[in-house]
Amino acid sequence: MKKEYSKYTVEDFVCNLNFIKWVKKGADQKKWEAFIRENSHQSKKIETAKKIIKALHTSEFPVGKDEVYAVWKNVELFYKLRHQMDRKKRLIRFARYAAVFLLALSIGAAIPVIYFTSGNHKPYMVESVIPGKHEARLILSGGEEFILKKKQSELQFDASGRKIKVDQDSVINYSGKVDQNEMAQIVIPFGSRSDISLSDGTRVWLNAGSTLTFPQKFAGKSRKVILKGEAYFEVTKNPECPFIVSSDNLNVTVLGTEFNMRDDDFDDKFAEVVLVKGSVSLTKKGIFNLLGEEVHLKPNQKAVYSKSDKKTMVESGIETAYYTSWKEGFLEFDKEGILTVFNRLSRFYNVQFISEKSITLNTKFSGKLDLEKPLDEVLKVISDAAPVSYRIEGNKVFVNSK
Amino acid sequence: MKNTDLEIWESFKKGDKSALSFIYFQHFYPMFQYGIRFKDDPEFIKDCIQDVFFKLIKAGENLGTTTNIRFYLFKVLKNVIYKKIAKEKKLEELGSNHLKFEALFAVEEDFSENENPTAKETTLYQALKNLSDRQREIIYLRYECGMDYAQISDIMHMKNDSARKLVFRAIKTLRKIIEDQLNFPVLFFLRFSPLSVF
Repeated sequence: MKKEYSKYTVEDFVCNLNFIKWVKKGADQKKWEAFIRENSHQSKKIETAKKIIKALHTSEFPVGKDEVYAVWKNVELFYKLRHQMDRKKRLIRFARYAAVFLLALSIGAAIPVIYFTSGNHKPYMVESVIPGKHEARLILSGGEEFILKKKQSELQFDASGRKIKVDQDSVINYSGKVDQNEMAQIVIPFGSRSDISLSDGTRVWLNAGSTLTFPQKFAGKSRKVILKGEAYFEVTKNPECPFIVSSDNLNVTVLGTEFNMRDDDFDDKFAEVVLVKGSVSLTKKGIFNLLGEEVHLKPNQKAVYSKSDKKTMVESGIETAYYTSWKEGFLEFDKEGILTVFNRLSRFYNVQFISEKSITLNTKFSGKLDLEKPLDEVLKVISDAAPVSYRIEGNKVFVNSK
Repeated sequence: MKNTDLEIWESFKKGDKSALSFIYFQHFYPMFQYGIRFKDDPEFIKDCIQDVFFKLIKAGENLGTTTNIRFYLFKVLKNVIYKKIAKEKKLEELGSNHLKFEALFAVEEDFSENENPTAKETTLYQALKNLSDRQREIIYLRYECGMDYAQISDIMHMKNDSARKLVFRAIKTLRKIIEDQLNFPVLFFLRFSPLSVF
């Protein structure tokens, strides 16, 4: 306790911040109690000082949590608009190296921080992890698993690959090995989605029923990731270090670009790559690709790989929005067969479509479905537009021609 | 591992969303409590707070730096409130020191509910009533918000000494009254709530 306090006047006490904090918040309670015991000549002054401070107390205006949140929604929206604009500006300046630096912060009490050290280096098989009825998971290079609770999860890896922000509300500090392209994995079951920023700034939207395997921190002359399922990529440009997406049937090499890629078990006939911006080249995987045939795509082109005859066809003049709208939460169709529509919905809502009688396959659907809406509402939109009736039972949807 | 205000602020400037949300939820309530003293209109004050954040988000990297986010926010808020009120009333810009500051002290509230005040209670009440708006604001910033005089002088556009002197004068008066009352014990109620906006 400061020695000066023993000589303090009433005003001195009232003006002293430490004293104020004690009276108002009980800070250093024991120290002050001890001080009063040892300096009884001051106790009367302290009493007076206390009374003055209490007299100066102002009462508070109540404000409800919902009011705080209502304003927050507007602030959040303003932030999103602001940063969307910034992102567009950066994409337009194509020649520049797109360096998207994300700061993952561990902020005191507000955001819980998880410190993790790599215990066992469990080797794991890429192919053995199948998205299904499990929860969405992040598996780090040492084998540590984190459940991703949200249906639309968000992950951000910082440049070191060690700070991972999960869903904007927690941060993982990883101190395991990341220096030699040790692979991490994100498994997204049907009915979920994920928005991931990799350590080089590349953004990946992972669709339902997909797995992405990737280095926690990119190193070396190329950036290799493995995709099973469907994902939309916005790759940061680095001519010295091409980005390669490898799937069961295809290898897609990217320099800096945006494209949608789908190669999964769900569709047993085709794999697709749709290019929005930039340039990619595709090669087929497998021992038959001896000639190293490469297919180059330009923006608004779609490559369709047929799994049965192992041939790739390129279509131009594609409306890319139809293939990429899912990442914004929409499904867009243009004269698509009703079965394709059901196929995609099945993946999103994690339901099985069963037709009791054969649906007239000629039914084509054009439109936009809002995936943020419950399945019931989406199906109503379809049945209003097309001659299809439906009945939802648990996770099965029975459909029929009307 | 706690991050300092400076670190959080710098992240916020760079556009980090979690820094933004942390700052918002950490400081909204104190901002509201401060702002509402200038105008007893919760919707108006909420609008002003919203404007503050819009302003800060818009400025981004161009924002100044700070080691005390609350203090920075209070300054911006006071300015926003003043400009909005001046606009509404179509006043000339005389400066934000011309804003009224309404902070009812606990004793004043109790007094108005007390049907039979004693002479001593009345004296105390009068003393507090005589405090100017600026004195009230300084007292609020010091006793409710725990700000130091450097910060208070900055927000109040005053010299460091002037703020301190104003408070001292008020306290001296109160002291005299309360000491007198202690010598003649009178039952008067001082409401005290542990909640404060530190």
